[in-house]
Formats: sequence, C-alpha cells, structure tokens
Amino acid sequence: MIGNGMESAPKKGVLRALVIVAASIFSTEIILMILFEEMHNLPLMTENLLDGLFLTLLVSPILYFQLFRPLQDNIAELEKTRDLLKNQRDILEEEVSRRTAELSEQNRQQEMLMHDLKGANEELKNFAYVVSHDLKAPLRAIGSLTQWIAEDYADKFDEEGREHLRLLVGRTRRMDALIDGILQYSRVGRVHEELVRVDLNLLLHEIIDSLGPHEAISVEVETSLPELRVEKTRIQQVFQNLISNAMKYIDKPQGEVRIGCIAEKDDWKFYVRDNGPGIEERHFERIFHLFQTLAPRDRVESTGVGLALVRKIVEMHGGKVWLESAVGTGSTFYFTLPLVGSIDREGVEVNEA
Amino acid sequence: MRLNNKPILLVEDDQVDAMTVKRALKELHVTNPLVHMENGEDALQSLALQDRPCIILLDLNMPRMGGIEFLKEVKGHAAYRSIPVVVLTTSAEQKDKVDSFELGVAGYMAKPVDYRQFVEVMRSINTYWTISEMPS
Repeated sequence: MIGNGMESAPKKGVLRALVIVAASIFSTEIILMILFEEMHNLPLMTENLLDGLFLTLLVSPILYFQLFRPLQDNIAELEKTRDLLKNQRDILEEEVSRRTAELSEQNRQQEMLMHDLKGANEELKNFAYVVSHDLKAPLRAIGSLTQWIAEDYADKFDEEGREHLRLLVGRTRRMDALIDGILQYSRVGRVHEELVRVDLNLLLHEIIDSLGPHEAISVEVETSLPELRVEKTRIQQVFQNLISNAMKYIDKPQGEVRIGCIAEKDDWKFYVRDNGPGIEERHFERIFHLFQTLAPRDRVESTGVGLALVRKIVEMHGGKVWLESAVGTGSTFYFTLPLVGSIDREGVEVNEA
Repeated sequence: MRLNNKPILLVEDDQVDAMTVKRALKELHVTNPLVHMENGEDALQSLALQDRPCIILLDLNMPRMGGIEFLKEVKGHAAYRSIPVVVLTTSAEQKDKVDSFELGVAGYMAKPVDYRQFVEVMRSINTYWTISEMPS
C-alpha cells in the first residue's frame, strides 16, 4: 500500500519539475532580452529566442538531474522516514498504553496480594497468640486438679497410681513449656524492640553467668566480640539458646563450650562450639524446625523451640545460621549478622558504603 | 489480709481457677469472706450491694464485661477508686500489662500452671496486703 504511493509520487514530481525548470529559464531569457532592448530587432530576437529555447531544453534536464532530482529523492526519502517514524510512534504508543494497562493490572493484583498477605499474617499472629492463650486455661485446670487429687487422696492410691499422677503433673508442665515456646516464637517478629548499642562482650558475660556455674563444663569466649546495634533481648535469646543447648547435651566428663566471632567481608560470623555428641548431617535441617528434638523428651527436657527461635531471630536481623558437626566429637553452630549497623573500635557506627 | 472482716472480691469466670484461689486462701489461713463473681458486670453490681472489699482479685479474659473494662468502671468511681486491684491472668501480653497499670492496678500476676507456685503467688499477695496500710 505504502509502496504504490511512493512510486507514483516521484513520477508526477519529475514532470512538474521539468516544466517548471524549462519555463523559468525561458521566461528569464525573455526578460533579459527585453532588458537589453533587443525588441526592435525582431529577426535577431526570434533567432535568439530559438537559441534560448534550444539552450533551455538542453540545460533543464541537466539542472533537473543535478539539482532537482537529488532534492526530490531526498524529500521522498525524508517522507518515507517520516512515515516510518510515524508508524513506529503509533506502534510505540500502542505498546505503551498496553503496557500501562498491564502494569496497572499487575499493581492492582499486587495490592490485592499484599492485602491478603497482611490479613493472613495478622490472622496467623493472632491465631498463635489466641491458641496459646486459650490452651493455657484448661491446662492449668488439669494441672491443679491433678495436684489436688494427688494431695487429697494420697493414701487412697497405691505406688503405681501415685506414679501416674506424678507423670500427669509432669506432662502438664511440659505442655505449659511448649505453649510458652509458641508464644515466645510468635512474639518474635510481632513485637519489635528498640535497637540499642550492645557490647556483646558484656552481654555474653551476663548470659554465661545466668546459665550458672557448671563443674564439668567450661564455657569460654575465645575472641573479642563487637558492639552492635540490635534488639538486645533477641540477640540474648540467640546466644542463650545456642550455649544452653551446647551445655545440655554434653556427654564428655570434661565439657567444653567455646564462643567467638570472626569479621568477614560483609558480616560478623559468630560460632558456638561444643565437644558434645555431635549431630548427624541428615538432621542438620530438621533441628531448626519448631518442636523438633533429637533426644527423647523424657531424657532431656526440651521443648524444641530454641533453635527455631534462633533461626527466626538471626534471619530477621539479615543473617543466616548453620552448623558443622562430627558425630562423637562435637558440633559448631555458626550464625552471621550484617556489618551494617555495627559499631567499630572507635565507637563509630558502620553504615552502608 | 489486714482487715479480717472485709471481704475479698474475686472476679473470675473459670470455675477451676476460682477453686484454685479459694483453696490457696484456705491453705494460707486467710479468713476473709470471699465474694466470687463471674464477670465484670456482676462484680460491679456486687460492689454496690455488698460490703466494700479490702482487695479485688481480677481476671482479664471474661465474658460480658472483661477485666480492663471493669477496671475502667471501678477507677472512674469515686467510692471504689481506692480499693486495691490485683490482676490475676494468663495474659503475658505487654498491652494488657500497660493498660492495667495505666488504670492503676496494685499488681499484675501471671497464673502459673503449677498449683504450688500459685500458692506462693497468693502467699506474697496476702503478706503484702497484711503489711501494707489501707484506707479504712
């Protein structure tokens, strides 16, 4: 369609240009002749005119091909380019409006998704809280009633009956600890604490003190620790859980727990190393899940909340947690915290470069 | 408690929790009469009808009128404002604690699952309110 138009336009143009060129040269000659007053010599003028006509016919195609044709071609070329551009612009405009519509649809969908997610998240938070909360009341009743039966009717039970009641009370306590665990776990991320400067050297000292002296286990901080801007209780929970875990499972006559920190390119790498029983590699992922324990609960009283809590806190702070372990020789738990927001030796806060 | 003849008002909807309080008070030889109401509304009515209690033991999660609402009513009432209120609850929620103390509670105790621990909580409350002077 466009091709046909382009072909016929130059042909018309050539004809028109030739006529214009010839006419203009011829009329110029007449004017020049009049100006030089040759009108009185009619035969000479006629001869000149014929010469002029001949000259004109000779010159005009040259002029045309040298001057007008290239111009004409240029114009045609330009027109072609203009049409092409216009075409492209139309396509672009169409594309832009299509993409705009697509984007606004995507935005709408994303907003809806965000709204749903927020709702689901809020519900989950409330759910964890309400469940834990409402589970506690009947549990407390079971615990109390069992204790009263055990106290009030102690002489009515034989040894086996008393043992069963003792187990029953023990289980309600365990259930209570589990519910506290869920509450604690759900609170991380739901309730945010203020970020404060924490000197980890002091914090670790407090934590180790709070875990109490243990004759058979030595707990030591091997390296100097940094000062960080963090949620203090959360970081305390991380170290406390890792260290108390290390101490709880130690099976050697002389237990050793070593804590330290290595400065890496983008973050601090902390470690808690023990000489406990070690963990098989196939359990490496599972132990970080809520309520997963490796030892039977009757042997080592554990809720299975600690490491799940550690992972949640560390990841919330932008770090990661993992372990290396050799069965029989011990385990090393590592976690990282970003350098950003920490405080260097001169007390200057490290910010993003 | 210090004023032996004055009743203790217990506002608690859970039957076993109420039994726990009664049993613990008996074990501690607290002889004050115990008035037990199951929600805030009934408790407010009993305040108008009965003797002024020397202390109110208040649960937070209750039907019809909850503990915080009841507290607002009591603390907004000139005649009841000075009665000490001790919250006995399962809620460890920060908001409940803040709300309670902003409404002027005298104490906030988490109900332990273990009955013996509960007795210790009640012993502390009893000792404190036996030592402390109160407006008569």
